[in-house]
Amino acid sequence: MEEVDNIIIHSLRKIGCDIEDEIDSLKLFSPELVVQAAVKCLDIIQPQLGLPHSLPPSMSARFRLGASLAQACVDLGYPGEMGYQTFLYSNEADVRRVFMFLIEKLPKEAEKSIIEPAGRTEILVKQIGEVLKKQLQSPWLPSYCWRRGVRWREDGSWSREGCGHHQPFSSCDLNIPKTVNLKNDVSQAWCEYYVRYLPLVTDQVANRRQLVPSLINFNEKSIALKERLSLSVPSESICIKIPQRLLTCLVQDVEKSSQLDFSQQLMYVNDSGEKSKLNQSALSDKFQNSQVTTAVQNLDDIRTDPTSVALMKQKQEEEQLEKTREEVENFVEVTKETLLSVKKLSAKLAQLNEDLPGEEKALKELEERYAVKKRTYDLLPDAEANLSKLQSMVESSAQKLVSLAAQWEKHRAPLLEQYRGAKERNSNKASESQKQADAVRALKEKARELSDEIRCKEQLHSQLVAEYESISKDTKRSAYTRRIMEIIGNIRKQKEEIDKVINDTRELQKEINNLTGRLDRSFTDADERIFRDAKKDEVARRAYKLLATLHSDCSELVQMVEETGATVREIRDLEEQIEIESAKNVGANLERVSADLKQMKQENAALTAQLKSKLQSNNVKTV
Amino acid sequence: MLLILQDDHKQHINILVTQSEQVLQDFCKLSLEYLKRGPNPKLYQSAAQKLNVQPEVIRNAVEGLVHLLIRSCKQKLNDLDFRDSMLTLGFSEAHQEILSAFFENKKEEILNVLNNYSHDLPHFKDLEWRFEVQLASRSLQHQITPLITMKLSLENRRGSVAIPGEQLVLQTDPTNLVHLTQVLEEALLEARSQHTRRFQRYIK
Amino acid sequence: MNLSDDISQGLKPLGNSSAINDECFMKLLDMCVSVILESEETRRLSQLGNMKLDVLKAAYASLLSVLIEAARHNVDSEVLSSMLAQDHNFSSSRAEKLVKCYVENRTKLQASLSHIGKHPPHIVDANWTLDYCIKDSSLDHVGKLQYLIQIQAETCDESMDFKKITKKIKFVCTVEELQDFVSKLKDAVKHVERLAVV
Repeated sequence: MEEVDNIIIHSLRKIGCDIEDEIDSLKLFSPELVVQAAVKCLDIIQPQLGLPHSLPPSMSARFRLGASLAQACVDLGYPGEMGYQTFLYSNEADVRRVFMFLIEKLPKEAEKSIIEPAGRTEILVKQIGEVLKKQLQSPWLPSYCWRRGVRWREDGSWSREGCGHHQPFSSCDLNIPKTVNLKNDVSQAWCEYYVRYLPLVTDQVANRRQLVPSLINFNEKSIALKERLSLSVPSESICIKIPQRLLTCLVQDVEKSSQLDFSQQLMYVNDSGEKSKLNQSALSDKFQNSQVTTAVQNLDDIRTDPTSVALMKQKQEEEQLEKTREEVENFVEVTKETLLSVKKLSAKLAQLNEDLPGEEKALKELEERYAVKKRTYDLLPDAEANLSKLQSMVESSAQKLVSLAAQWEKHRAPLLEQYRGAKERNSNKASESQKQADAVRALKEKARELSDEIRCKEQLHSQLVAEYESISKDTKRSAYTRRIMEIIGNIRKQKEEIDKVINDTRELQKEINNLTGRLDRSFTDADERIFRDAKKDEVARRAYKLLATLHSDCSELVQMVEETGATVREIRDLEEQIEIESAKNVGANLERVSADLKQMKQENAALTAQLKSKLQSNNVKTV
Repeated sequence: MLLILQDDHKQHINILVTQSEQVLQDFCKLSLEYLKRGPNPKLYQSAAQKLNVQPEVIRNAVEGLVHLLIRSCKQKLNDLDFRDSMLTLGFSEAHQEILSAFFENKKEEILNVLNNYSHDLPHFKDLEWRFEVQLASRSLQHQITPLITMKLSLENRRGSVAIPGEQLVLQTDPTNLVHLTQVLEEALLEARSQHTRRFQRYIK
Repeated sequence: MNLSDDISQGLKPLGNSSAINDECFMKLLDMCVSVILESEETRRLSQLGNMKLDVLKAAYASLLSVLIEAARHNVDSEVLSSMLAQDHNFSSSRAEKLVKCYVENRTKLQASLSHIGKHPPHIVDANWTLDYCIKDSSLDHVGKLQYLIQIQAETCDESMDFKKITKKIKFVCTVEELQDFVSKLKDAVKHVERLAVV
């Protein structure tokens, strides 16, 4: 019984009953504790009951509570009889039975964990639920209380409660300096442009609201472009994934923007005050002389602030302006003419320069022809000797040529072989390095995957650890199973013993039966023989008489023994009954019942007294 | 309370006083036609030929009758008042009965029209709502933003005709939705409050 | 979260303290955050000391992009730091600084990003008057209750540079119509509450 009690107390503690440590069996349970534990169990099984958790002070209320508890248990399907007395005047066995029943009925924790959401949708729904809960619980405040329509909570979360500060996703082209270019170095002019004239991205957008969309767009656009470039080379099948038209549009867009950028930026710089002069001079340096530049500057000055000048001054300046304008026009005309002539001249020069190498070539040819002809004329006087000499020379040179060719062939073969070997080795190496690069890339990918996986696993681990910690340290479980196994073993042993005893008893019974049979038979035999002899013999007759008395005495004796056995058994039964009855501690309970009865009577008396006084006061009032 | 008419109005109606009951009934029909479809000069022409008067006179009589009805409705005359008013205008008992029946018949309709005639602010017609959660946008790809989108339909009422008005698409968040509901519920409760009821009882 | 080549290049000098010193880096980071959050104070690049301006301009744009993209995809701090260290060769202290700044400002950045988009007018408040109509021009005894309802909805005006405006929607309700209206709103509230319990 101890184990059962332990298990019951353990389960009760688990559902939140506060049972003191020294209570280790149901015998020590006070009625208050019994009621409290029973109410806790019922609360978990049927949360809608709503029974009070402690015994009320008033006797009648206690009886009512006991009765409703009993009713609830019966409704749950408790097999035995029960009433208020089961809880209020408890005896150990009944309480044990009730708690075993109730704990059996408690919902299993395993069922609870199954209900926990697992899938992505469930998680999403849960998250949405949480957000909604937060928003529903927050008190309403007028919209002017929020900065930019966003409500910030203490836990750092936020929710939007207004749309007044929204802006559409509108972007414009951005230009970002290319500082290090891997393939071809950035040219000096671009570098100069980046350093001196390109405004910050923050200043490139027309409106500050466009900055974020523009940056997002910039990033996405260049990624898409890169993907397209890398995809279009290997195979067309992958290319299909991205709409072709979109891509071409994108590419055109990007190209156009990079072309336009320069002029756009220049225009932009033009607008912004001081830089304009700098820039303009930079521009004009390339095309016009410095005088024109100052004129342009003057023009610019006058254009920028005509309003602030007094009228008189204005007139003067207008005259001056007229003059200057004429001058400028003159200058421009002169410059145009000069430029035209320069162009013509330079065109001529270019043509002449082109003609020059042709002429030089012709000259050289002519000189060579002259040298050959001169030598032939020199050789003409001694024609025969010279001819033979020439012939031998030709022959020797032919021989030389043949030997040279052989020599060349000798040198060429190994070199060619060497070249081929080197080429092969080179290609081998290239493929190997390609392979290695592939391997490195694969490894990198794998490393990233692994790190992701590790992160996932770590998260899972920490989650599991947290879960494990949240689960109460239920080390007793295995101990209990061991105990239960032991108990089962014991019971098996006991059963064997009982079987043995039963067998013994049976054998004994059989022996007794045999013996009685034999006794009967020997008695009849003896009886017959002596009876036969008794007709003739006096002694025999006496013997017969003695035999008869012996037989009847013996049977009486046997009967006595049997009766004793039965009585002993009866005594044992009675003793057991006494034990059971004493276990119910009727005496104590009776005392408590009578005490409670007395208290109730007192309460009743008090109530009647109260009623009476009330009635009297009422009477007085009515009088 | 008696209906007091202007002199020229009386004069317009006066032609009916001398007519037979059958003719008066025809005039009632004419004015009903007028209420439904507006003036019909052709009918007036033929009526004028029958009665041997100018069409103008017929028209004035019909319009006078209609105006009489509208005035009676506007002042919410009861049957007795209407009867007395008709008698003082010089109609006979038989005439009065025809007019009373006509008035009784059309009273509700005219009242209804007059009721909705007063103001030109749009009326609430219908509300459709849908609950949605914004999970991502181009600039923020992971978010949970619950939104309630509503379509508020309004209509304009010109007399008994309802002209479909604006359809507004609005949205709000749960906090504001709860607030909006509470505010409007308060308004609804105010209509049933003691104060409002007392007011309605005293100013009848 | 992917970054284009231009952005990656711009990030390079940010990764080690030899190209851009710590003080400059922190200032740049502050500047980027305040630009995205559209807070009032803005600093000029010239305050960052003498640097190669083209490098600085590229770094500035890249840092802005990184912060925006990370917040946009709700990137984990660990993922961000590993990405910075592995793909962009950030020194561990630099990556840590950037990640710390990102974590501190993540929700603010995301709130700021949530402002981009188009929405119907957003209801923020409602007013009402209850009138008892006694008499009007066409009827001598009206005697009916009538609500004048005004719903305030926030929206931005496209014609006025997307300035915030409050749209006022006015309409009339009889008691029955208001009852209809309120019951429909209550339906919506009930639905939302039921979802919130889950």
